[in-house]
Amino acid sequence: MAPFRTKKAPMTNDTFIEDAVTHLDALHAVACRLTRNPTEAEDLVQDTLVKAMRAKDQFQAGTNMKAWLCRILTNTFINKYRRGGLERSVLDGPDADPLADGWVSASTMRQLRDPEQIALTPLVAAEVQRALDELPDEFKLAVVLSDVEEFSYEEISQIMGCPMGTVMSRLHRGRKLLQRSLYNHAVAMGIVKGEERIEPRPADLAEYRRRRGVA
Amino acid sequence: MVARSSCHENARLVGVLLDGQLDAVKTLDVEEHIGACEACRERVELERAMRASVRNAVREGAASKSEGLRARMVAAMHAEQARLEAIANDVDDEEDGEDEQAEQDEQAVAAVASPSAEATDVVVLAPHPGRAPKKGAFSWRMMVPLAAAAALVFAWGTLSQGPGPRAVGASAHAGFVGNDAISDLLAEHASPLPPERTNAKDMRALERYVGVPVRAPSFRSPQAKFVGGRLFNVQRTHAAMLQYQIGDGAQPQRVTVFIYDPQRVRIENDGLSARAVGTAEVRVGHADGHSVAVTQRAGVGYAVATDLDPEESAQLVDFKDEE
Repeated sequence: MAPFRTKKAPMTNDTFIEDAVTHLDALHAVACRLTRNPTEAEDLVQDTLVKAMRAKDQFQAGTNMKAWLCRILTNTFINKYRRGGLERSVLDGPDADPLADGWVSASTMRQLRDPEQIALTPLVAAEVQRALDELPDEFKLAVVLSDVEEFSYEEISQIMGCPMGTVMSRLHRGRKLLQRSLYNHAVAMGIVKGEERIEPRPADLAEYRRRRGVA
Repeated sequence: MVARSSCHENARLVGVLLDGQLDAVKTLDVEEHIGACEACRERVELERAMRASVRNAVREGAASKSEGLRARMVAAMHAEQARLEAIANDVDDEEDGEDEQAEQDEQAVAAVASPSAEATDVVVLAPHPGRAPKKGAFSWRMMVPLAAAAALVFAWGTLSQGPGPRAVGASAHAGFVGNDAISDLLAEHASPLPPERTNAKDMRALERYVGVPVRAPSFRSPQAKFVGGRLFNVQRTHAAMLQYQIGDGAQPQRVTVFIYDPQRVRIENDGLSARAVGTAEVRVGHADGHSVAVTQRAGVGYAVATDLDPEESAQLVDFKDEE
């Protein structure tokens, strides 16, 4: 491998800008869920694109621009909007236990989704958004990058700057928390019958945090 | 009946399978299990439904985009580009005035030759075939929105400087997400720009941009060969970037040394831990397979980025004293 990147036909600025704005919708969708605030989301996207422009020479033409932009967005978000390391201490606790699998019966799982639509239609989008917003940023970001933007684990690991194994566990646990939160909501709304079995596990994220002593 | 432990193992793999990231052999295993186990079949369907719902919810949540977002973004990027070019021209002017003059003349000609209507298109990105973007890109009709956007960007830039040094803490093992300067240095080390100068003595010419003496340092051990260097932009100021190579053979190690004014380039403690090497205090950290060691000597900041482990980088930054 050549030790240095050769400066072959650099992208013109217009091409670069044009390419970058094709990813505007994806960046905006991720930014909306991260910031939970439309104005901040747009500022975050703009900040991202301006930084991208500044670092344009570091982008290698032919590689995945969307992933590169998402990485800048993620770093910018963490630097600018995050209020401290709270969530990380939740995630990286020594016994960050995997939530139990198979905590509900097959029939409950069936009730939770609409078999025709392949979506959780009893639960409106707003409810899923709320559940997503309750997730720690790391989990939420992994889930959004995977489910919405359909990045591969490897791309997500580059975007989030963490190993693939971490991506996989964040995804797994993020989805479990999401399922649990939606399940609790569905029970509360009477959409599904609660199961008889008393769960020894914490019922929601707030309680999970409390139990871990980080509230 | 399928063993429950098997369900437990599968639950994790189901997610990977649905993400399309499971290898062929495991895919067969999981599918075989799913075929035999109703609960896991339901789990697959529920997981699939979850993904669809998340996708819908996120897209729906992002639908309320403000009017003209795209236009605003494009304008902001153009403004940033104009700002960067202005800075670059300042540097070039001093370095090779004649060439630059010739180029400017050429641009002036191009600007005159192109009808001004063509150059007003800041907002809608119309391609200008065969014409480099900066030529004729500044008609008066676009200067006003550009200047406004530039002012906006400048304000953001000022705000985003960050709250100064933060304590080393829980984030230490999470890479350098909180440390812009280090991320920039490592990114540059990972995929460096080609060097502008290949003679170590020429690096001194960079002093007037960097603001501190720029002397190519020599390592105590092992022997490293100077490959080249250039000016590097970090935190809106200049640093010198020097590239070295340790060992020849099939896999030489690349080492990048950054020399900067520590008053202007602030390296926060996020993700770094302190070491004493020789008589120097060195801060080290690593991310993405690269490591970095940062120190100061006589008021000059040095950062060494390598693909070695952090301790080896820390040893490297303890340079030989100048003869």
